[in-house]
Amino acid sequence: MNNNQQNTSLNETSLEKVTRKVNDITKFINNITHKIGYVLLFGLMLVTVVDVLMRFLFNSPIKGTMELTEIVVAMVVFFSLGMGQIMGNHLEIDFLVNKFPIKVQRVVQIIIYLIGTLLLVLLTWKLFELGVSSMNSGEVKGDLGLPVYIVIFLVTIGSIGFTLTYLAALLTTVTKVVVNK
Amino acid sequence: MSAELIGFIGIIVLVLLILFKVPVGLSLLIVGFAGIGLIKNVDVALSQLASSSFSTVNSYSLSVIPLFILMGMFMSNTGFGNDLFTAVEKWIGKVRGGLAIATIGAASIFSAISGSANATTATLAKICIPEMEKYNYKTTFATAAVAAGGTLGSLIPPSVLLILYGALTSEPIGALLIAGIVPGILMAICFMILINIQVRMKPEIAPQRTETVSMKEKVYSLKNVWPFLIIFLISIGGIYVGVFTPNEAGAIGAMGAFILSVVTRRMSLKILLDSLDETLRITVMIFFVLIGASIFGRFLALSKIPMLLSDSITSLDVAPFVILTLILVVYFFLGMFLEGIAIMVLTLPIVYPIITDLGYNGLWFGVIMILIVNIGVLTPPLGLSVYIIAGIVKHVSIEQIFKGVIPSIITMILFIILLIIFPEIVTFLPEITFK
Repeated sequence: MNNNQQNTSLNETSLEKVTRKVNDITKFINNITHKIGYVLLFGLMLVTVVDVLMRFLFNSPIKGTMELTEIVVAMVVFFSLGMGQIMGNHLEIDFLVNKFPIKVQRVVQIIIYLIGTLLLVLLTWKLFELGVSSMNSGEVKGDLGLPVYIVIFLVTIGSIGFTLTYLAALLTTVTKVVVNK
Repeated sequence: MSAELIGFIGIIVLVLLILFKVPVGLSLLIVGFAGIGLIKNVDVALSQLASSSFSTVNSYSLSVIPLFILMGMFMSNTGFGNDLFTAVEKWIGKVRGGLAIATIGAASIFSAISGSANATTATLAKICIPEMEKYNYKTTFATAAVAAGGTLGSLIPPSVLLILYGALTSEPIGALLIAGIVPGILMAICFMILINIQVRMKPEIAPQRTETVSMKEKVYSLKNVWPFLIIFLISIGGIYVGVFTPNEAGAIGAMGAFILSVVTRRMSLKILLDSLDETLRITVMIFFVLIGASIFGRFLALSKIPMLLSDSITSLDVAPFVILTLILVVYFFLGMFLEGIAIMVLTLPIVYPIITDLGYNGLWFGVIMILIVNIGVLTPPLGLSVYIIAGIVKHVSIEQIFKGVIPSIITMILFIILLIIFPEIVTFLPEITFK
């Protein structure tokens, strides 16, 4: 009896421990990619302005600005998707669910986070494959001559961070339900 | 199961998911992925998942979104809204209901840099309402002015909603931004006229101010305002004249706002980092929805539902005007329950082809639709603007604020009717620019 009780409490703490670890790693990774996004966005602004100035003043725009812009937007978005999720920025309609009892809300949330995690794992995996096939075909970006696979792999890193936020949210909600019992 | 049936079930599931608080972007992703999987097969769905997501973010034209948001963040985080209201108030504060009119004026200028109705409403509520109360304006009259002014944020360029409309329908973003100018200014004037009428009918809601402001003070108040107006004129003017693409205009606007706030010593490292942080988080909120919308869009196209609906509706034996009216009524009710961005991604793949098949102008419809959806931020149960104001002004009940905005809503409806009768109000400016 006593032994049994200890066992369950041990189980619970290990679940909590895993949840905390996953949350820590998630925040760590997304914080780094989000901060890199700061630099990229500010850089994009600078490069675009310099490009316009060069075009007007010297009639010689910077080569490859268009490709560079595309790359930066792709990276910036995927690098901050996770932070948007952590800070609760993503668009949700909550007027209906809020009327449900808290237990039902948590169960609904667990299902949502589970589906979200699975779908994002698939997305990340497929992005990685897209990168591999782009690497094998040797596809390059217009004027810059930058291999496309590098961009896709960087985007994949952002996607891993985003997927982790769903996994972390899933574990956190499950822990809440289990510990409450 | 036929593709059409899968399509219809998909749409119903999507609405259910969104109502169950699944993030809009994820809901679109789930239904789009599952739908493509059912109509084609899992392999196609899996490869669409990655390639659609990547091609949505790997985009030159959509870089306009973070750049314009960054410009607005720089301006609002460095206290530009405050200067703006002070200046407008010094100039027209003395006329009847002057502070409320100044609120609308400040709102229309602030909209021109922020691109978002929520940001405009929140900024103005903090600045204008305390000022109006200081002069004994009736609180619900003051809150109504702010709520009405805030809606201008989605119309006057750079409006994020108009950019999004362009991204979803492939109407040119530059032309859309230009198309928002005249209706935005006219809407502001209509709100000012409304305030004037209200004050004439009930002078006690807005006591006239007695102190006079010297000409010197008036001119001095412009000191902090004009550089920002110049930035706006250069960036939006550049699109108008055709020398910049919209995203170049965004970059120049953001850079201008940054340099100006450094020169005037308002910029700090903290403000810079906060602005970048907020900009990125708002940007990904929009892009996550766009990523979902791209996959959902492929699914809808495969289900052939947009074509089917468009064909059957355009072959109906009723005047196009009747169909348009029906669609607009539906938008009005959707606006009461859903957020503008959500409504656009859900409906445009189906509604846009119908509208253009009926022979209506796509730019014009974008403006009309955004106006209608915007009414929803002022109505119960989900009037977002009203909730933002209620969060800032604690001593007045939400019901009273809702009651106060009824005249503004009527004004907006009348204005929409005006634009339907005279579509040229929207279309003439982009037409002379881009043709």
